[in-house]
Amino acid sequence: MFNLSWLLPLFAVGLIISCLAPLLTKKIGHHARFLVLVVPLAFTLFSGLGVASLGEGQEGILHIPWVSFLNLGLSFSFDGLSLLFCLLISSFGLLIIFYASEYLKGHPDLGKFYLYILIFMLSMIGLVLSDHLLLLFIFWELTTFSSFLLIGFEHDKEFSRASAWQAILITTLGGLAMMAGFLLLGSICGTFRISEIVQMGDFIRGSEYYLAILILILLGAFTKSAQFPFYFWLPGAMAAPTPVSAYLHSATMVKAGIYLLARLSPALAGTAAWTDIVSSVGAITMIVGAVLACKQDDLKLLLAYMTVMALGTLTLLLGLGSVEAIKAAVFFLLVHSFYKGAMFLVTGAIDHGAHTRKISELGGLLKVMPWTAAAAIISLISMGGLPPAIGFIGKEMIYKATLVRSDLFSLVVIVLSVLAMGISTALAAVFFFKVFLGERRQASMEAHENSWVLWAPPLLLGVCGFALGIFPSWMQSTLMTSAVSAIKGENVTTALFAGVKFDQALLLSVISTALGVVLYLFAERVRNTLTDLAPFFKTFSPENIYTQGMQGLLKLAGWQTHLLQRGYQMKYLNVVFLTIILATGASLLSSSDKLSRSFEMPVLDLYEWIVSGLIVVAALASLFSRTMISAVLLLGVVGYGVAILFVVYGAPDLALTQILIETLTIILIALIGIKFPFAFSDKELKRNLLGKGVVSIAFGALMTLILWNVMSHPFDPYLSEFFAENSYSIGHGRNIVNVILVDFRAFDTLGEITVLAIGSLGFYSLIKMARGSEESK
Amino acid sequence: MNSLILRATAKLLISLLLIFSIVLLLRGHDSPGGGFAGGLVATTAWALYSLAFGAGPTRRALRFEPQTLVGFGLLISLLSGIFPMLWGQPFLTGFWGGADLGKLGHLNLGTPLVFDVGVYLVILGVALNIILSIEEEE
Repeated sequence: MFNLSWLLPLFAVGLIISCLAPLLTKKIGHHARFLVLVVPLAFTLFSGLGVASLGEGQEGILHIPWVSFLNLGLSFSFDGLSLLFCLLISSFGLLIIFYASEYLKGHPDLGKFYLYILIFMLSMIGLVLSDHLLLLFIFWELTTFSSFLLIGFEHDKEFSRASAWQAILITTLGGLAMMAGFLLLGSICGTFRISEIVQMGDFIRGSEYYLAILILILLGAFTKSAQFPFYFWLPGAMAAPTPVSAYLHSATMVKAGIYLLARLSPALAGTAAWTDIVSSVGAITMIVGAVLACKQDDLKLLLAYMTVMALGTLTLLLGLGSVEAIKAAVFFLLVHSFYKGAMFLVTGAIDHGAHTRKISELGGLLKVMPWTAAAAIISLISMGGLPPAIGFIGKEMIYKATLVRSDLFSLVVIVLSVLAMGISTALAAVFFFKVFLGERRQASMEAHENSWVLWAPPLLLGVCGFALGIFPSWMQSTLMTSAVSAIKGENVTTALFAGVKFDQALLLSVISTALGVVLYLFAERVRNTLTDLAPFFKTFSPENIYTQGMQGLLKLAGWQTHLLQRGYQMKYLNVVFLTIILATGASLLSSSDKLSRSFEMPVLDLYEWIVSGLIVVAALASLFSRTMISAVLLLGVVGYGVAILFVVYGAPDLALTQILIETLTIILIALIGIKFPFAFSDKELKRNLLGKGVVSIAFGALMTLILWNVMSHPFDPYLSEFFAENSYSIGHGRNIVNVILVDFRAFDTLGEITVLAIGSLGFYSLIKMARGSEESK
Repeated sequence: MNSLILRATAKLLISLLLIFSIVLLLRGHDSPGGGFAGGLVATTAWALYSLAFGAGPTRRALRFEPQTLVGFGLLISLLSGIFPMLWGQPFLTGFWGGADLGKLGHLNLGTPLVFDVGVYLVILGVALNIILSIEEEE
């Protein structure tokens, strides 16, 4: 019953609705959300059907070929891993967009918000369902882009813009590295299809390019999933509205890197390099995130750093690579999404109701916001890793995974995990006791409960999480086993969760919970110590390196601009011409091609001589003109003369275009001449005559040399013959030039007009900026 | 420019030029012409209008912002390329349909023509953007 080919129509519908969203919101306001919500609903049903059909052993691959000899096409595949993510993305999308429709109610840009978030959702789903490496990359970049738009949603705030920039720069740099890794991987495997690449694991691991591929792809995954040292963009991204933080920066987008690691595990994992690098980075990220979370007063930042910690844990588990670890990773992925998404939504509700997110300003919200508190408590139990929430089971599985081997590295990992989980418990306790219980402080006095749209989604998430924890048999399901098998690269049939046993994992759980309680009791002391220690670490923190780096870059740009672009057009022209002359000239002279065509007097008709003579005379005369207008007109004569030559040699289209461009140029310059009428004075004409002469003559000589070089080579008429033959039969046109432009090479033309459009946009904004600054003077 | 002669003749010339630009656009496939040439002639027409009547009246007569024309043109060109994909063909495949008009000859229409229209609009929009902005410069 489930058909992967429904995916494309769903994408199309989603795209159309998202483009309509801004318009709809303007027209019908609040009710537009119902149409918008159709998209995540449709995808949730789609994923649900997909999950249901997993057991039927259907191999799901959808491939729409495009350029077949490059093996380039739209390829999608589904298995447990992608469907798990798909289900997560679409169902969370449904809840969060619903929440956002209330949270951002009345916001003037709400329509745009729907557009951005739907685009994000579609891109993310495309990312996890993609079977082609390059297609995955395209969706990856689309998620980066939509995240940029969403982080910078409040674009009149400096902080939002700066955070959005930070996020996009870091993730894009990683993305570029990842692209390079993909290209390398694809070329050594001979295919870009992920389903085929994961079968070639041993070959890839043995290749000489393995390390390079690994590091490049890891860079992509680590930047996207906020691993150390790239983690700092994630707390900055909290500038986004809370629904965005809940959706992108905890449940879905940041997990894209984790997805990549998981998806490519069969191909890349299993070597010492993978285990060492990935686990270490994961472990470091985990502990850094946990420690930094302790000193936060702002609830959103606290949750952000805890997300960093969770991402580190996931990376660590994928790095360890054993079956236990992978089971733990898949499970914890779900666990974390549930409680973190819920807690972000709760924080948004608190912000909405109490107008602050600082722990120090809140307290005793339980009485004022009972429903929100209920939603929070359920998820906090999971966050704290207490039974019977799934958080507890997740913690158990993580410990089980770390206990698989017993070497020094594992010992360190165990200690760090216990510490991190303990901090997690402590912070959950802080959230609960300090925010919901305790004395009511200033902000809580004026706080009020929100509409059900703001507390129902987190409550639902929390209850689901709880239910899944009480009835864990779903973990044996086809979905989970398929996901784990996909990551491990071999079929895994052992039971995912064998029940709580009194073993070492449980002991570790008890220790970390106790640690959490202790940390909570000393919360103030811990916070103060960390705040005192902060300045020492600030100079070496990745964030500082980034900031200093950016400032240094800007300074370098300023210096270089000052050096090369003083505002004199003459200087710019000189730089351009000299570069062309030197670079092209050097390569021409150093090439081994000899100029084999000797110079012979051409045999021309009289009128050809006249026209050529006219061109030369006009060009020379323009040297002596005194006003800009006369110079331009004389050069116009040159242009028209060239057009006539085009006609003579049988190129009417070229001649037509040449004449038109020449006319327009003259009009343009005439316009400028009207505004700035100036004549060249004797002094200006004579200044630096030698220099100008040398550059001009050199440039002209270079052009002649190039043409001569071209004429020296035999002319291969293959293309001309092809076009001449096929222009009418395939292209339905007798004008070969035009048929080439709009049919055979239409793609190039499309690129050209796109460039024109972008140039025009740049021009337009420069003019607006200049006008704007003039008006404000 | 305050010239009565220019204003009087401009109105006539502009109509002629605009019609000519469309003719160039449509004949491009079999005779010299095409989207670029058509767009440039249309630009010349509107540039003449702006010289005779000023930039403000030109913008009003255009009714669309030049930038809108650019975007619209790009969209049309893109759509003409995506259209064949709905029928399973690769991007930018040319789809042709003909009709016999008896004595008037054979009418041949295809997606490359739509593409050319898009090119026409982009050229018009970009050039007008520049010309009108310079004209409005103080």
